[in-house]
Amino acid sequence: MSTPFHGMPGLQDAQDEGRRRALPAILLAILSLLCHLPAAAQDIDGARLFQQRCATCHSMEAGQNKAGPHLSGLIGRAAGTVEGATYSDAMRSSGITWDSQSLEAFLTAPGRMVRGTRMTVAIPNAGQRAAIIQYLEGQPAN
Amino acid sequence: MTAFTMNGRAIDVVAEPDTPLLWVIREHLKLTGTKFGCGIAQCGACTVHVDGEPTRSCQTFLQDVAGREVTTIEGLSGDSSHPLQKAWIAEQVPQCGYCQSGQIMQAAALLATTPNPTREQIIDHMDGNICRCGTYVRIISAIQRAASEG
Repeated sequence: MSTPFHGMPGLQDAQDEGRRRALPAILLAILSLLCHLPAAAQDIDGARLFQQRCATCHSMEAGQNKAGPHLSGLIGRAAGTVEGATYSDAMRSSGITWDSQSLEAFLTAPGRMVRGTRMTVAIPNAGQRAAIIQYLEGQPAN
Repeated sequence: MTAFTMNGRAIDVVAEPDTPLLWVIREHLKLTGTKFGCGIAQCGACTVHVDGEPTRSCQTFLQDVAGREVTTIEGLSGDSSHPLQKAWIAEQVPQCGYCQSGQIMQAAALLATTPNPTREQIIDHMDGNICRCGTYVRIISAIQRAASEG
């Protein structure tokens, strides 16, 4: 045949090609559903998470206030009371006492619990949040 | 009147005590190397040093730095001779450049306390500084280079 379109891929060729490409992708999708990849160990390392998400603004050393107050002796402490630390009015007047329950709520969404807080770092992942709270609870006051 | 030290010079700034340090640096002192990225301490672009500690200047107030030493990117060295600045150029780290002042200041604080950080220490320390252009791989290389070349 000597029509201008002889040799060019036609509709049937395009459909065949589409199916050829789709099949491996579909197989891959099914395989990935069957293989559950375990969470990386670092996801649940509270000390490391603290270093990554918290440490730029919070020290664990008493007296060392950065953008946020030091967190030494945090558990049982009244919010907004560390001398020399910077607090929003909202935090100062929040009436919160820090424990695992209040921290759980706060770290999920700080601005929702204390509207007007300067603390903007949220930890939406429950496992990571629990690890950080556990780390904070385990630190001796110094 | 709030008196503090800025890049080695004693200065007095007349502004409301709750003016964010980032505003003082950029608007009052015209040091525009430090950038506004988010204003809520989520991006790290505004990072400076206060008494050597990396600090998000957008959430630090003028009254917080009274009597303290503030260092901005301009004050890291007079002539881009800080090991990090040399490494940054050698590794050709920046793309748009907007986050880089904050990245370098954050990194400088790490090397001051941990002269030979592991890769894990680097990525943990730098976690709060984000880069939309994705220069992270070169940032890590540059920090490692600065650590080894001093």
